[in-house]
Amino acid sequence: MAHGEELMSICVRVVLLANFREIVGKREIIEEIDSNSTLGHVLDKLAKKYGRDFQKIVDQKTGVISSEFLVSVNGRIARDTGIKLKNDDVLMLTIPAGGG
Amino acid sequence: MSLLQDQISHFLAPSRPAQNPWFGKGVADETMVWRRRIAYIDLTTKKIVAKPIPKQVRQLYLGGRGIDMYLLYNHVKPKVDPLSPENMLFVGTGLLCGVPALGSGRCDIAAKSPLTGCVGDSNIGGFFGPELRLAGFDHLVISGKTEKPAYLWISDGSIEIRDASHLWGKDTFETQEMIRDDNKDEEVKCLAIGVAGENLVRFANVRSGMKNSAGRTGMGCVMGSKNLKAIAVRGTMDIEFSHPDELLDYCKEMNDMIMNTRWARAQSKWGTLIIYSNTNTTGLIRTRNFQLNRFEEGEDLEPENMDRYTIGMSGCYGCAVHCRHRYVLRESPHAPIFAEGPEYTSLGAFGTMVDCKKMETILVANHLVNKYGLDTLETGGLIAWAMELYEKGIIDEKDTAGLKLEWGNEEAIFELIRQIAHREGFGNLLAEGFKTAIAKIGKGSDYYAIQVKGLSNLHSDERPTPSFALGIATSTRGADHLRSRPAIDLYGLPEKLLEEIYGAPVSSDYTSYEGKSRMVWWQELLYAVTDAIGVCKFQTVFCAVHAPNWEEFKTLIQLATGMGFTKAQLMEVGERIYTIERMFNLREGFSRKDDALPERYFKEPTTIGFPVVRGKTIDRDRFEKMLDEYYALHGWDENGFPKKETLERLGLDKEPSHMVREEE
Repeated sequence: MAHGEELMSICVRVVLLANFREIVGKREIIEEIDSNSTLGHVLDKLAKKYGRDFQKIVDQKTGVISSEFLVSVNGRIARDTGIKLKNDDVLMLTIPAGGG
Repeated sequence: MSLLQDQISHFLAPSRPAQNPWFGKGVADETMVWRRRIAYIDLTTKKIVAKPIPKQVRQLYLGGRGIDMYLLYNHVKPKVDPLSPENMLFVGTGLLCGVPALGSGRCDIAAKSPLTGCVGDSNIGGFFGPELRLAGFDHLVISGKTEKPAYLWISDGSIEIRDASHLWGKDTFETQEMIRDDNKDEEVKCLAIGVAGENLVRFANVRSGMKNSAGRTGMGCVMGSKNLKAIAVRGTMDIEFSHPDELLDYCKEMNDMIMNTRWARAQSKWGTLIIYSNTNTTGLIRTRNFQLNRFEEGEDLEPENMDRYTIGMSGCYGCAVHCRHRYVLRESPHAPIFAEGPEYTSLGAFGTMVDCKKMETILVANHLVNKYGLDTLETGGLIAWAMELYEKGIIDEKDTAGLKLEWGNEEAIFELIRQIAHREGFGNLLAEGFKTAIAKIGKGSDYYAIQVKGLSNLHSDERPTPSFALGIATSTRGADHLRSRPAIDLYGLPEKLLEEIYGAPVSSDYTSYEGKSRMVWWQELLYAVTDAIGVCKFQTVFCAVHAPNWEEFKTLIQLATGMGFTKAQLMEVGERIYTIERMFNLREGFSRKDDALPERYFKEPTTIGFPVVRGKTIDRDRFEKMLDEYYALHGWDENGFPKKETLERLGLDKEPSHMVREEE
């Protein structure tokens, strides 16, 4: 991005499952973020808005997504919070629940 | 003959008649594990014999599914008709049954499957297993057939065959209640069949309590073929452990660890329905049988929508999680219904696969299959298949005797469940299962059947997940997600961690094929041991990466029984159990060609869901390569036959009816 050029806004969809849905009270929300935002930026924003459970998504010691949670970007599981996001990306926040 | 072979022959062949009591006072001072008994019950001759279980058999097979499979292989002759008196039913408590942790009360029920013709077994939770152990028995071997309906009454060391004529025709709830009333004891625990088992529906299940089921492979049908309506047990004897104080401390540690995890707390609140949220959002769920891979209008099936029906959560023996809903349906044409469930499986069976969008439909159908004693998964899988055939014009109302099998027609589904259980109308054909129904309908109907070896698959769509696809193809009991499902493959775990767990590189990408054969092989061994010790898979690596597995199992076995195993030895037990199952199937004529997926997996790409799962089929060449790798990991040849050195290493070469290729 050229120096002095304004950041554009992009929108990402955040699908909320499990306890995240309980906290926010919605199935999904749209977050407007800057075009050079990363996954980490969105998670920070959500943590400020919604509090404790969202704050715990990123393991403070390691800086990656905690194994207690499952975060995906367009279906790909994310561990690294530095993933750059694009307009219309879909994030899913949930807990790992496997089985059958 | 070696000492081991001599002891095993003694174990396999019933000898002296039973006396009562045959343990307790006066028995030589052995640890409780060696005091427990196996009972051979011949329903034809009414002869009942009880024997100790040799320590060596415990060391080789542990208990539960392990010993059941060993007995199945050695007692049930090749090519036996599964509905004949020569088929045998094996009921086995897990080795750790009674331990107050990890949902340890699980019991395995096995026989030759009347649905598939291969290994049949199913695992049941609840409270029957511990009660059987409290009554002094760990394993039952039931052969023959009674002339009239009967039930087994087992209490504190004694076994009787009692008349069950008054129970015949009753549903699974009524049967259990009547047995408790007959014996004037509310604590009696039962395994019971419903009318589906009486009518020899090939996938009739065995039920216990409100909802616990030995669901798969038709074990209820085998009971029905023996006129065996129920097995009732009441036990007040002691369960002893080798190191009780240390065991209790360790169990507390296990339970605390599990309940401190988010996944356990989520299951405590939402049950297994929580899985649906993750898999459907991603696009890993079959809809309209196999036409789509996400249920687009399925919001009502999300777990929070159970809240309006749930009155509490219940659990199985030794479980702190309590993942089972208790629900009431008050306002519905089918009300009132008071029941337990539903599980994730039923969400698919009567929701996504048949295009029913309301939670209430699933709650009614769940109750019906439990009442009649039908495998929820098989019932839903067959109905979904029939609906697709109806849509495609392969069958019509003449075939279905007027039933309109349109997608989402819940009344048709409820009626078809009733017909299947009672073998009426079109339900009578579906009651035979996929193999016979396909043969009778013809017209290319096999293409639409999502089954392996004659067993219906779960509503999961494995096209984007090669590890899951390999698992259902290789499962010894047919398309089955419980033999090996590596659910943690969906978690994107660091590859370093995966390599630590599986012992070699495994890709962290769930759409990759790399290392996935190893993942499936490892999980097969783990779940074989899980079923042999009788703990709940949801409290193991089935569910979460740091959940109990080999190390914890070793410690529990040591503290409960005094038996010491290394991790490698426990894995070898898993190998032995899985290989003897393979040997049974090979002897029945199954081979590599049966370790296959439905053609649609290879031909029809997924169309919706997250971008990463769209456009996916299973690549045939890569699937075959995974299968080659998988066979090699098991020590089997390229056709899936255990190699001579594998049989020798596992001690299976000297079985009374060991399986070696003829040309060797």
